[in-house]
Amino acid sequence: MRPVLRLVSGSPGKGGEDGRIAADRALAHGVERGDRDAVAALTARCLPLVTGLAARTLRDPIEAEDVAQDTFIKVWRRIAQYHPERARLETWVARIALNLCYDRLRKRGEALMGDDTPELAASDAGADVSLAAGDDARRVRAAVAALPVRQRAALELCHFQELGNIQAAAVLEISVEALESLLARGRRALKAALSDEHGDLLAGLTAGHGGET
Amino acid sequence: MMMLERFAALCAAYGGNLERWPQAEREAARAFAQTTPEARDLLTQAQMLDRALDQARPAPASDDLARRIAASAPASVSARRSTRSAAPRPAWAAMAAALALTVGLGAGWFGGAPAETGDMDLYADAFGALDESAALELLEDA
Repeated sequence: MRPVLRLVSGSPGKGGEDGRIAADRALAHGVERGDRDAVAALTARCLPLVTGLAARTLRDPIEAEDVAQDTFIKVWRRIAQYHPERARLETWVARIALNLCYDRLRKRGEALMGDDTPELAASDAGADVSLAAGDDARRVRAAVAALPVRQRAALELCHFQELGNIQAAAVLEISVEALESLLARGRRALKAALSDEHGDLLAGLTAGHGGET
Repeated sequence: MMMLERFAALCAAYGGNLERWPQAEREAARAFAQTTPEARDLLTQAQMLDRALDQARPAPASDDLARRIAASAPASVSARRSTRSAAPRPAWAAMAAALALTVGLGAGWFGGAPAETGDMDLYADAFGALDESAALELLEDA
């Protein structure tokens, strides 16, 4: 294995933050040199985060793919400006992706700052979501899609992508306290939507996982 | 020491899996949950929502998309940048830059009133807000 990829694929491990910085710097330099292995490694590492975030914020899988491609084109062009001391590579890439999503939402005329008003009724959320009775997954997706955009983004980063709170807050460019507020409001709205409408989905799920804690 | 109020706030934000909680508070929360029935109830409630949310996982990116993205990377960013910097500049560019510098310095020297307070802070704030990507965007858009 080539040195750059050993750093890329290995966890920071004993090096801690220093090791992480060295690994991110090596990967960024590899991309800057045009090293195809480094390009593939960065793509593999960041693409799930980018597509997940874009699909969650835009609620349109085709547009999310467009944003993913635009994001990486910007990454290739700007990789020399990346500073590993300031942010993890994923954080930097995700911020580029999220800003592109926000641009698209603005062009659609969608508000970005209203964090408490659901953007859609759960039953209208997403053209691909139909609420067939008993289709729990679609109901949950619809309930998430109905949340305000920043709550969706916060949930995507913390729950689905499992970023740490500091990293997620950095992607959203907010404080950790503001992140916790977004998450709590989002989860509270979801709980209400899934408990009250069409029967109590949460109770049903609990009954189906009786032995799990 | 973890208190129930903080435990409830963390549970409301991060859910019922302690691995998703802030690293700095995780161990204290784990110990608190072992000794506090109310905390365990909160975790159980949050785990119900976690399981529901797990059904809304995003679809994985396609292999085709990953291939297209990897193929969109230039052979060498450094090479492209050095090519761009080696491009011939018009002869008048240096003269125009010198003229702009002279006019700017002159205007600043003779026309600028001394700032009373806080100018350096203003400059620091303005340029501090420009991260590397934003700065590059401005350059690219220019």
